[in-house]
Amino acid sequence: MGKKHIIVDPITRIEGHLRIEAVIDENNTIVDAYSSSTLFRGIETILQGRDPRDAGLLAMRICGVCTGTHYQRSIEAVEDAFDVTIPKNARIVRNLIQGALYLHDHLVHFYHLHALDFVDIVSALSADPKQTSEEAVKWAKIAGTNPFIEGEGQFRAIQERVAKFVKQGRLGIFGNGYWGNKHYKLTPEQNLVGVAHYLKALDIQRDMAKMQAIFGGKNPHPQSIVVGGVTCVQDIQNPARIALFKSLLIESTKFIKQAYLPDIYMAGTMYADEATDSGATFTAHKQGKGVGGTGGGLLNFLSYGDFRLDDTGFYKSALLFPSGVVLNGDLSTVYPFDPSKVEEDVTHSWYEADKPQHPYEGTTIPKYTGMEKKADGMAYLKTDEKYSWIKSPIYDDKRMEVGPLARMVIGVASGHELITKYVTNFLKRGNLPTEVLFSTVGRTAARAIETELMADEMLKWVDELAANAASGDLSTWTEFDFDTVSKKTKGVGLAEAPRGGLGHWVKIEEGKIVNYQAVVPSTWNAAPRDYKDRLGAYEAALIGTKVADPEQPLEIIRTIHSFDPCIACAVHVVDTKGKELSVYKVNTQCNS
Amino acid sequence: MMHKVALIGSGNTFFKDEGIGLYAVKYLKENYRFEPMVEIVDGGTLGFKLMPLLQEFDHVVIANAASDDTKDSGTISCKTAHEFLEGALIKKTANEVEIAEMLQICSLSESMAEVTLISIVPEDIISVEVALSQTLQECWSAYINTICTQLKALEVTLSRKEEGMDLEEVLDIFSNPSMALSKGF
Repeated sequence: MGKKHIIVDPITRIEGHLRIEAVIDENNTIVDAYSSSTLFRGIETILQGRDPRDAGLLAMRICGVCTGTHYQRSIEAVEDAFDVTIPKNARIVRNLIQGALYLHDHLVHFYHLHALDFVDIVSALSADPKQTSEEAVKWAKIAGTNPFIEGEGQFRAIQERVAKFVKQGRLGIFGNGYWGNKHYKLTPEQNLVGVAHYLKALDIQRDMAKMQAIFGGKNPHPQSIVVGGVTCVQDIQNPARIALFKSLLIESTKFIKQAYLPDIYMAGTMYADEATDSGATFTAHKQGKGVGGTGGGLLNFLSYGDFRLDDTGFYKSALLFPSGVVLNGDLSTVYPFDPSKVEEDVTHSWYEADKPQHPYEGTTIPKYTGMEKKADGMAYLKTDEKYSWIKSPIYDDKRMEVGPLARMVIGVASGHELITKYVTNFLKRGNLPTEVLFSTVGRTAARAIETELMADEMLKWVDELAANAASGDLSTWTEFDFDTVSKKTKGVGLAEAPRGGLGHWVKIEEGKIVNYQAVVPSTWNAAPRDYKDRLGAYEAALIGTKVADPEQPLEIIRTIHSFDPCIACAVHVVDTKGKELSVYKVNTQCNS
Repeated sequence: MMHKVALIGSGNTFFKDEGIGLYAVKYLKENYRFEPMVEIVDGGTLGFKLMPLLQEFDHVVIANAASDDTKDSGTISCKTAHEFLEGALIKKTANEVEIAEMLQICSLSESMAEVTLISIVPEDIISVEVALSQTLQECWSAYINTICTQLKALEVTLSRKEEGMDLEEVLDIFSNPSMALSKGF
């Protein structure tokens, strides 16, 4: 029997449009994988010729998920070009807006975009509510706390609510729900705990969105950040606004500690065999020696660093998340991050360029070469040639993974006190080895650890802001002389969006933008192979994975989801006709 | 009891016809008064970030472009969230994927607005520009009227403002937003 192709297109419960082609061998193990975005990007050209002070208003429309992040990054690229240092109040406010975005993104990601890869809703119907309550206590205890939802009665009520959904056929709308897949490993009671938190998280995310709006101005698009600082001076002065922010934050933190983290322990423990299966990894298949477990992937991590903790200015101040590079999962060495070593290659992307380019000099010239037609109306990616609309970023001529796992790994490797404390505590409480982080489950756990850390730090920042305003410092904007600073300059906004390193590069001449390039987190993670045929982060993470049922490749979706994919900002529209890509959803076919 | 109504424009304004939902709600915002008040939202390319709106309002009207290969460009449809999700969804744009999935997730929420999607089949979602194709320009009035009719069905009274804004001016705002001139949504 020969190799089979599994195609998943689109990967659902993500932001955007993504296609995965995986090749499995006779043991249903993935031996090759290709990640393709079937949507085109080319938004940067729209920024050329603009007033740099307005770049944020345009950049925020690149993508919805990271709207605020793009907006802020664009503003900071311009501030860097103008050499403007923002006041303390502005720095804290920006951290709080961005921090609230982290909480919202991570929570929604885990519960609403990722949890159903672990949790089988239908199975929850056969749970015993009393045992479910005991189960909730058990996992909360490991996290060192009490459960957010407790008691037989509460779980019974939730179960009845879910039974109603099922009866009404409302689960049918989850087109690709793999209910009943034998690869689901939670017990009915654990599934009910997961579903209960899924539903509760719908309310909690609403509070998190409100937090963003308090300082961010009109929701859903933040408008209070301007080149030089922020405009929400009234909110800083108003104790009621600060108090509201705090109370929403406290309630959110409670859910993070009493539901989110216990659920991670629960899922992590039940899927621990995979998280520690070092044979099922990219490193085992390519280098002969496996590190971590299923879904681990490249083990090269990059963080630009973010959340400035003092007012010494860009790329000088102390950071909550340090910048750096870790290679091959080796925590003993952290290489300093050098922005000049970022390049984008298009050998396997539908663009034209003769060599990898630094974003300052980057071009975006589309060159669509189509897909290969096969029998039965199936079209495959031409994986030897160009096969994605995403470019392939490389750092110092290496492929990288970015995101919460990268931030936590680099934090620990660089001996960062706070990050090390949270990561160590997490592992110790669950009695888990560090290597477990290098897996799909580990990536998901890293995001949860980061969420807890962020919520705790934000509480201190709110107090710092209130105290600073109370001391009489109400400055929120740094003045600059536009005509002088915008003659001929360039700048970069490098930061960490919730899903990973995000960079905006801007070149300005005579008060106008002359070149603009954004390298977004999903460009790093979802990229195709590069000019040396080295795999991108998603591709590498799939290698070695065992697929229990090729008709329902739950394991592929779980690993891809663990990256929190967002393709919307990396890309744009399906090929010019669209049809050849949208005719099938999940398909398997012999291709020997 | 008074019903809270939100009107959300959804889509990416950079990709020509994909932006029609946003152009339409901005046009309505500038040309009409609403009684009782309607919250007009720049939904842009926001997907899951729109969930709180669906939980806070009684009725949510979403204006967007939605691909449908079986219908001519410019065809207008009005669907409930359920009808939208039940239909053969052709999701060509990132935004189409996001809106559909956001509605799926929210449908399990305890408080969920009644959602109506007023969609139009786009002709050109490939070109990178803030503009409308000729076909959609010809359907513009019909599209605006469909949204107005839906709002009236929700017992909202519309009255025209004396000083309005035409489509060209609306496109200019999305094309050339400016902090200094307070030119934005």
